[in-house]
Amino acid sequence: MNDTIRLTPEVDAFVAAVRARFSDLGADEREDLLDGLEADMADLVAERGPEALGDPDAYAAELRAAAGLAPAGPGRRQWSTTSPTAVLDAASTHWSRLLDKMPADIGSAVRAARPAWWVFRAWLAVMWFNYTFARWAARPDVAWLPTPSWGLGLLILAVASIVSIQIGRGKIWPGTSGLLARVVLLVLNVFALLITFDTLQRVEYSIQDDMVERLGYNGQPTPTPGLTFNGQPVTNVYPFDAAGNPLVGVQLVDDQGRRLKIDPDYAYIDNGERVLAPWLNGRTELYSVFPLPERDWDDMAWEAVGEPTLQAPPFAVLPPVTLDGVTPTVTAPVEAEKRREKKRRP
Amino acid sequence: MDNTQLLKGVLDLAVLAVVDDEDGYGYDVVRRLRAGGLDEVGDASVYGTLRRLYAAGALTSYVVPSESGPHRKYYGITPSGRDQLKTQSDDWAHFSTTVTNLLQGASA
Repeated sequence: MNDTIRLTPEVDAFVAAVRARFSDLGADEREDLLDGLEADMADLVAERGPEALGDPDAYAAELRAAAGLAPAGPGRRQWSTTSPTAVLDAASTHWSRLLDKMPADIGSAVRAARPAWWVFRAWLAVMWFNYTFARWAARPDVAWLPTPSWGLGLLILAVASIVSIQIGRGKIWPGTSGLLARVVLLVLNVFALLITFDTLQRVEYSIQDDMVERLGYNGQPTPTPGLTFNGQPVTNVYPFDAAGNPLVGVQLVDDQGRRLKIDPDYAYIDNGERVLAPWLNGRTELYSVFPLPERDWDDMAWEAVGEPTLQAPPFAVLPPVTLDGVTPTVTAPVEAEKRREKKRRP
Repeated sequence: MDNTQLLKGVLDLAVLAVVDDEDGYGYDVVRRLRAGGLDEVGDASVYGTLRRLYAAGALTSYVVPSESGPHRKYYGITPSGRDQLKTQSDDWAHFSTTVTNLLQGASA
């Protein structure tokens, strides 16, 4: 047995001509008839020369009759090679040839993957229908389903998949033969390809919205700089000692030694009428010493004006606190000290 | 003599017999039919018959890739094809005996 099959241009042309005469058949039926024909023709030509090929018309008719298929419809043979059918046939032949030529049997893999495409385009179709017409409010956890209900969504998807598979198998219109069906199917497939990206993106957005709702996370967190409380910027800090007396000039650092500072740009006080002023260490401005003094803001001049002044704390005193075995630092406030001194003097 | 019409009636049987003997691809089956004496069998008729028998479940098919160029499509017989071969062989034996006897009676 000769294992090298050489395709000659004559065989190519002959098979293409025969294929063109099967254009009224469904794709599967046609490929079934033509599968292996090139090799057989190549053998024939190798043995008896190109003249053994004969007339493609007669050949196609004989093949059809022997295969038990109806003869080609009237008029088909008069169609010129530039008819839409011929163009579709040529494209189909070209695609088929392309797959055959692919290395590592990729062509067979692509052919075997066709059912996956049938199911995927069914999904695209129902999603597109939902987005365009039904507009059911997408429930984010089932964003990939065409309805907000699991059961109904899966049912619709299943029915659409079966329809699409039957179209793919050439069982129902427009998977069947005939020029109109083929054109419609081609247009639908191209449309499915075109909406693929958009549909996937919509589903992704829906899922992202769900994440934001459930986790308060939007994928690109932009943390507020400086001290925050419950996600909002802290505009000032008023420390009190264990006895409940207000403290002034307390420096805060965290366990890693980082200064806990307020970002003055984020401290929005009294509708922006006042701004924070820093404590100073020499010339270094510190916003990690509390409470921070405030200055007036001149909107016209776009700058802080006036002397930095400390505001009254929200509470004059707090209830005292204790912790067993711990002696807290108690700093007598300046005012209280003065009062005590006054009492001692007289 | 033109055997074309006669051939049509028995092509299924002949093809089944050849494939039953050994799996083969289209042109190989044609070659073996010709070698067996059916010189006038048309390639396309044989290919069409193979496809039809395959569609009816009498044959199975598999593809054997070639080192270069298009693949070959091989056909083998199925149990149902073997049943069909047996039935049709019996029919043929009966039919041909009947016709032979008729012809002998006519010439005698």
